[in-house]
Amino acid sequence: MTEEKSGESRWDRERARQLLASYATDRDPKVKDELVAQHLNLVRYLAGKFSNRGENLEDLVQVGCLGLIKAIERFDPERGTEFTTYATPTIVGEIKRHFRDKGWAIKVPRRLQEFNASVAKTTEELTSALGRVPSPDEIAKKLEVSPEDVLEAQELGQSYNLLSIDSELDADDSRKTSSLLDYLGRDDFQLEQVEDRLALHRAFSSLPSRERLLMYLRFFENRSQSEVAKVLNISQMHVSRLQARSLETMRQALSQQRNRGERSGKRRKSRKQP
Amino acid sequence: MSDTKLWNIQLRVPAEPEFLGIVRLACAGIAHRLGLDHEVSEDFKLAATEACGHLLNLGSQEIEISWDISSDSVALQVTTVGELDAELADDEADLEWKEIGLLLIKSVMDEVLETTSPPGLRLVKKTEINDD
Repeated sequence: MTEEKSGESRWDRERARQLLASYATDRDPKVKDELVAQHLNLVRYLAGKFSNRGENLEDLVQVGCLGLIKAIERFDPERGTEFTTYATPTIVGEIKRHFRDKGWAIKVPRRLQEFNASVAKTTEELTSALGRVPSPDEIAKKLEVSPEDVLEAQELGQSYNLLSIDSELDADDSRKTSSLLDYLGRDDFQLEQVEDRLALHRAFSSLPSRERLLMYLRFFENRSQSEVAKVLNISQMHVSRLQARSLETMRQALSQQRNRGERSGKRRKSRKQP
Repeated sequence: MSDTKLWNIQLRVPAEPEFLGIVRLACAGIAHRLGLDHEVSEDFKLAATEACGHLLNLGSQEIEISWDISSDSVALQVTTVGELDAELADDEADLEWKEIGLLLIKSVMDEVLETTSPPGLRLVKKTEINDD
């Protein structure tokens, strides 16, 4: 039987050679049709090798046929290479490009994600039906895939699933749930304030201790001028005057700092220039 | 240009088609561990299956698969183990399909080398690997 098969394929190859030589000169569409029909097996074989990647086999055969047609168009019989040697990479290339066009290199295809989900679902169903955890073979049988595919999905499948950053995470029994988003980093707005605080601290230290206490009570504890007057045992008018003077002192201290900063900034810039 | 050797992983299986699934699983696991694209991972599975299939009919008891992982490539070395038993060898294995199998490997890998003693194939895929 093998002899018969190989005999047939030898005849096929002889015939293909004739057809290819004829097509190279005449470009007769009928000859092309026969060549395509003759090599459909090759396309099916190659497409089959890619069929476990989550794409429909028929789609892959279609794409592979495009590759085959390209190969027939471009094949030069004069070069002396076998047609299959020339056609195989062309067909595979076309199939691979199909995957790439679908964004395969970046994300896992939807079908595969769905497959992983269906493995999980089938496992659950069979567990309750059988009263025990099903074997990969049993899951594979039910889903009509190979046990290896099931094992791979079980082992690696989880990392293929997409997660929403809004999806809620379990927070034990407390009702408050948190989402992944809560754990993502962002710029700390308080960082900017650190700088302001430092500047303010320096400005504060430019005040005498009584004025410092006054400013603290007024602006950090939000006390009224008369309250502060009682604490410091001075008149409210005096508080008002001291406050105005202190603010002016601090303002000057701050603007001096800023000037110093700008000047050193300029110096740094000018140093860069030759 | 760096091609620091990172890891070597070896697997030896009986030279029978039933064990190809294990080779494929190992390929997927290793590719996943290396953080390779899904497409590259599938290419490895395909190439490994074809390469092992290529050696199945030569008459060896076992096949050894070895992954050489360096910072810029993954090389898959598939070789027969031990003496080749002529009685186990299947000379009538369809040569044409075997040839197509080799072409298939060549179209998904960057380098394919045939080794002779012991008979085997070395498949190389250029890809950047982070060693973390």
